[in-house]
Amino acid sequence: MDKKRGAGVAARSLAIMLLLVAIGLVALAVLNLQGLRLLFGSLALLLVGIAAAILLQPNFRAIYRVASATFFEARRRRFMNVILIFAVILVGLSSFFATLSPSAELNMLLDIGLGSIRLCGMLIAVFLGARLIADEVDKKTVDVILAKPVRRAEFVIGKFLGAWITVTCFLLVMGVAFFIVYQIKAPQLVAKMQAVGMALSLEETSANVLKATLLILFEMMVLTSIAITVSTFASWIFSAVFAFTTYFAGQLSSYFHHIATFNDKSVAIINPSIKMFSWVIYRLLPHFEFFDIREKLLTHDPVYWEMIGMTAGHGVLYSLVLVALACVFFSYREF
Amino acid sequence: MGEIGIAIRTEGLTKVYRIGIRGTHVGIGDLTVEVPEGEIYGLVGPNGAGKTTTLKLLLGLLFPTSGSGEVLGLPLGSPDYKARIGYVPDGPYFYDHLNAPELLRFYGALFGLTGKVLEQRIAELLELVGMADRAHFRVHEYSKGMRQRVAVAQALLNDPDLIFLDEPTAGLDPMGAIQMRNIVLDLRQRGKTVFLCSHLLKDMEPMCDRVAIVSRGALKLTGPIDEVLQAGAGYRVRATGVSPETRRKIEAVVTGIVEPDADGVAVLKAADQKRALEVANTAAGDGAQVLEVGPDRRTLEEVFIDVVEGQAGD
Ligand SMILES: Nc1ncnc2c1ncn2[C@@H]1O[C@H](COP(=O)(O)OP(=O)(O)OP(=O)(O)O)[C@@H](O)[C@H]1O
Ligand SMILES: [Mg+2]
Repeated sequence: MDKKRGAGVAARSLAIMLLLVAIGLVALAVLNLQGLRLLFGSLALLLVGIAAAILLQPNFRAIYRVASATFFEARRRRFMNVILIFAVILVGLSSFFATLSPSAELNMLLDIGLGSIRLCGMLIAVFLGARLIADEVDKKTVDVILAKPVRRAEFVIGKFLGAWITVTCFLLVMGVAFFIVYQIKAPQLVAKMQAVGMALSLEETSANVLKATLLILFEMMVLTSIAITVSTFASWIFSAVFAFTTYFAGQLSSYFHHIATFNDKSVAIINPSIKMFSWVIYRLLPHFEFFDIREKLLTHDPVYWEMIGMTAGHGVLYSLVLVALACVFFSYREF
Repeated sequence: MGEIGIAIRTEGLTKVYRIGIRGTHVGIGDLTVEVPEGEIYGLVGPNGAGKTTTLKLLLGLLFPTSGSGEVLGLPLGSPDYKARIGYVPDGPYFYDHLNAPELLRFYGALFGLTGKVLEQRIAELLELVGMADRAHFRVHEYSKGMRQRVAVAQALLNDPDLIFLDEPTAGLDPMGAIQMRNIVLDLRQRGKTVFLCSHLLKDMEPMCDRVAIVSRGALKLTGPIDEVLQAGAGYRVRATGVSPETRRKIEAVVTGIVEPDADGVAVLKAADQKRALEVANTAAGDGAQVLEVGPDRRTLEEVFIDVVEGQAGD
């Protein structure tokens, strides 16, 4: 008994030390020492994760079980297949545009292909996220699960992971479909463009496609967590509508920033309360537009891995906070 | 204090539901009970009495508005006692697309069971609830009784020390109901505690060691079954087809008449054996069919009707 207590104290001290180191790393990341922001940031996140695991001792097996059950159940939903077929058709269609110039054709391919992956991924993320927990509550399957030694937070985390894994698989299928189309079309187009003297390499363009797809993955993580979090206290319909609204508002997040920091009195005077409101919105909204790098792809601007990492990190942090909130909301639910 | 041998203890446990914006409704009010370990405890009451509400409070699915409780010595809702309990919900619901073994594998894993041990347990339980030959059916292809059987199997996965059953015989055929009773009796035999909710009084009476009668969210009566059914030193006559004329004749002799139940059985009460026989003879002479003459031990149904209709039940 005493030994067990001793081990508990040791574990707790270790966790606290890890948390302190993590705080230090975050400080370093903020100072951006030698451009190692990304490394420090992810290290800090990892340490916080380990500390949380030591302190809360989650039942990983239960989380894994809920997640895998969610994944297998989600795969069977009819709307998933409908959207998947729709997506593959759209991706296929993106290759049928024979336009004036090879450059416009390549852009069309990228724009429509990635755009449809994003659109369909969004539909899946929102509907799956909104319905997963709501369905369990409606069908009362949650009663039996929560009467088992599964904490409510473990259930929510399992659901979230299951949903995200499903969305990931879905994106993978669409990504592969797009990549096949891309591999068929792009080399000729790039060769033609190089022939007319455009500085463009196939490898770089391909890498950019990969980066764009990766970002969509993290974008959908944020969207899934928004839908799940809202569904823990509201109906799934409200949750889906809310997630869509947030998604579209998030596309415009820089617009809110623009209003919040607008200071040119010669053009217009903006009511300070509106400014304040915009600032709050800007701070709260996930900045979905950062996840969309299609424009950079179209203009063949370089896309740095560090930027991808930062954006993904932003997404992961945002999702973590939301899922933590979802756990809190869900722990007050009655069934 | 933590006395040994109490599986469940509640103290003024109350759940008030919100109805709309302003309205409230007492699901269960001020429930104070103790369930000793190793007994079969029956919570009986009419529809809407608060049985399911009480169960859900004990399982931490609902939070009490006031009052408190302990299950296996731990506060309500604590995840720590859930490894040692089983729960058969009322009208159980499961993932539709799974079959029985898959479902049990999922729930078993939540208890941390794996591999051979789990497979062995699943095979045993499917046999026990009579589902072994229909194991490959998916839940959405189940009949109501089949779902109920799987629900029982699911609740026994972890060999619980305490099991909660909400209307366990609902939807079961006669064989199923008998198997259910045997499962419950076997659990008691092995020292487990059973907390049973039902309004099927005829099923409950021979099984329960102790009952609590609730009605409209209030505890009306609780105690060991023998005490609850005990009705003094009197005698009684159970008979069908008792005519109004007979009633007039025996009016002076009987101490009370319980009106005929659904089967047409009336109970005529008398102070001692001699008077009871007199009543029986009179009734039989008038063409009634006398089923039984004996000491007055009331049925749970009678006590229940008395209590629920508000006529003080002993
Ligand atoms: N979620 C809820 N919201 C509001 N009122 C509820 C809710 N659940 C139950 N009630 C009310 O609480 C009371 C007790 O319900 P409960 O389900 O506990 O009854 P019960 O004894 O299990 O009945 P039954 O025998 O029909 O299963 C009922 O009057 C019911 O209307
Ligand atoms: Mg009920």
